[in-house]
Amino acid sequence: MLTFTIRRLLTLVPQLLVAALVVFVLTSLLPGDAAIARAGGESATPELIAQYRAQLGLDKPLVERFIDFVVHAATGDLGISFSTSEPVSDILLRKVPVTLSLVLLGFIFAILIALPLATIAALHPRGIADRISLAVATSGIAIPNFWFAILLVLLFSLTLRWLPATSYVPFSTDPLQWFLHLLLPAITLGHALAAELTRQLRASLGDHLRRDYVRTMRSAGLSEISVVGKHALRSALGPAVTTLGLQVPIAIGTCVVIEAVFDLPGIGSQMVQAVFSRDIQVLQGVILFTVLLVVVASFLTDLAYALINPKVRVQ
Amino acid sequence: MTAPAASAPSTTQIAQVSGRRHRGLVRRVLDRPAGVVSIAYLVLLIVVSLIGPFITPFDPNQNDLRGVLRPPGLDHWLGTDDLGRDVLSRLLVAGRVSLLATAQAVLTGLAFGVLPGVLAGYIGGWFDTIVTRVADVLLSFPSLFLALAIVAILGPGLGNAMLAVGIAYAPRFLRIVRGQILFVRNETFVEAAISTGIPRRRVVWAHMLPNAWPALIIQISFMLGLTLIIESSLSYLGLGVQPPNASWGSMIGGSKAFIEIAPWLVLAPGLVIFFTSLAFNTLGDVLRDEVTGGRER
Repeated sequence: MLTFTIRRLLTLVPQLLVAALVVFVLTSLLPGDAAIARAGGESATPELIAQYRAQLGLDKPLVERFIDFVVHAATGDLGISFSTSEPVSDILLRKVPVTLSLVLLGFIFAILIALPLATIAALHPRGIADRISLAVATSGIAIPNFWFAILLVLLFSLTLRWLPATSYVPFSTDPLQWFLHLLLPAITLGHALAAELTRQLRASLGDHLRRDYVRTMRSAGLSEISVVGKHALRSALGPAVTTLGLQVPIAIGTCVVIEAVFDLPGIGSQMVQAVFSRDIQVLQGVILFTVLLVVVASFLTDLAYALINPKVRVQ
Repeated sequence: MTAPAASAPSTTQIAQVSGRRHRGLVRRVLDRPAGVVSIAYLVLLIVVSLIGPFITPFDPNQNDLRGVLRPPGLDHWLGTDDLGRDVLSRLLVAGRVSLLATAQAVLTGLAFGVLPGVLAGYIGGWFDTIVTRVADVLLSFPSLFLALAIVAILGPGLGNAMLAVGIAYAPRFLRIVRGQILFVRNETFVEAAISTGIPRRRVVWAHMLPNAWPALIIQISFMLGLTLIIESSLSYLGLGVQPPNASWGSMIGGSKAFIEIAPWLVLAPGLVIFFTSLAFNTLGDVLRDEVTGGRER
């Protein structure tokens, strides 16, 4: 297990380097550079722009700038925001907990929806639960998240007045309010993520329930709970874990829209703000951090998979 | 002397067989209730979008400040928005914008995905390694993030946004095409085609690529559904279509402030997006069932 972990850990480095290159190239393509923005726009004197360009290291060749970018990023220095003059790393530190809270709760909801639904659906094909699972799997993909979120707000915040519609309360300030403020956003995200998970789990559990070992256990008189819960479900969970890992980028992408609807100060809304204000430095930082998150998530997924399925470790 | 005569009918025969197979697929899809309903809905939608601008009951961009936020009624079937514009008229015109944008994104994805996919599968070696690595990295970005980054470079606007979405989705098409080309690369019929002296380029396009079509068509159907959602999300955020023009997404974004007093402004475009995306996804499901033979459930 240790060699597997180390070997898998080593593959993260080239992955992150390539991602950093893509982010760097993308953001280098942006019209107008940091120096012009810092000097006060296009009307600034060429001397002032040149001075800032030298100060920001923008007069160096591209390759050198890329190396600087990687070295700085690796030490946590992601530059300074053009629009607020705040270090990008500080902005991220402030906004990341919001998005992570949302993603975490979203995944919990997705599992809470998918696991029981898929299990009952697989046990009773063509039953009511099976039909509901199909509806969830389809609606989760076809309903626009922002619209679903607005409908939830319309029902639970504006009509029933049970839950707050906007803003965020940090966990450290008030855990209950943190949860209540994130409940509707997390349900929206969970609904979106549950679609693929339900479909996948339903198919894989159904497949396992038809296998010989399940028939043998049943004929040997093992209780249904033991057959399904201890054996079939455990085997079926392997691919589901992979599905969960693959959904991390989808979840973060979905956060952009959900944070906009619920007015949550996370990295998603920060990203939209950065696009509108063309804040390249923030954009770079947010994308780079997101890729780091995705890469780490795929690493953890592989580890979890190796724990569940020992065969993977020796490959 | 008989050899050329024999080879000529055989190629037409292949074309006939594959043509028959495709006709069979269309018929099989139409035999399924879900297939027929999705296709009927989509055809209706496309027709309505084409003639939309000519059948709108009101001018979709005409403000009427004396009749703002009117609920649905006999006069305005779906009510009016915050500027007194007729919601049904806007919905009809916005449909054209949304559908064209969705098609543009998927075509962009195909344009950027198919050729590299074919080349990666056919040439293999270092070229394949580089192309698939770049595709993997692109896939590891959340697609909406990638689209946002490209919009930041090119500026807001629906054309740019859809170009961005297309580029973000190209790796998915690339992977399918590459996989199928790899799959048939060493098959006897390819070897046979090459040995009869048909130019390589033609072998790739006319003999190998058609094998990727069923998988591609399925993916296109799902992608259309997904792209519609992404398009409406970007337009909702204000990064897609720019006012006074509307797409279904921007109609929802523009009326979010009024949901409490005028929920119909949000309900109508949302339902249309949902049904359209549902139709694309259902069609994709039916196609997949019929192509892979046998249904999933």
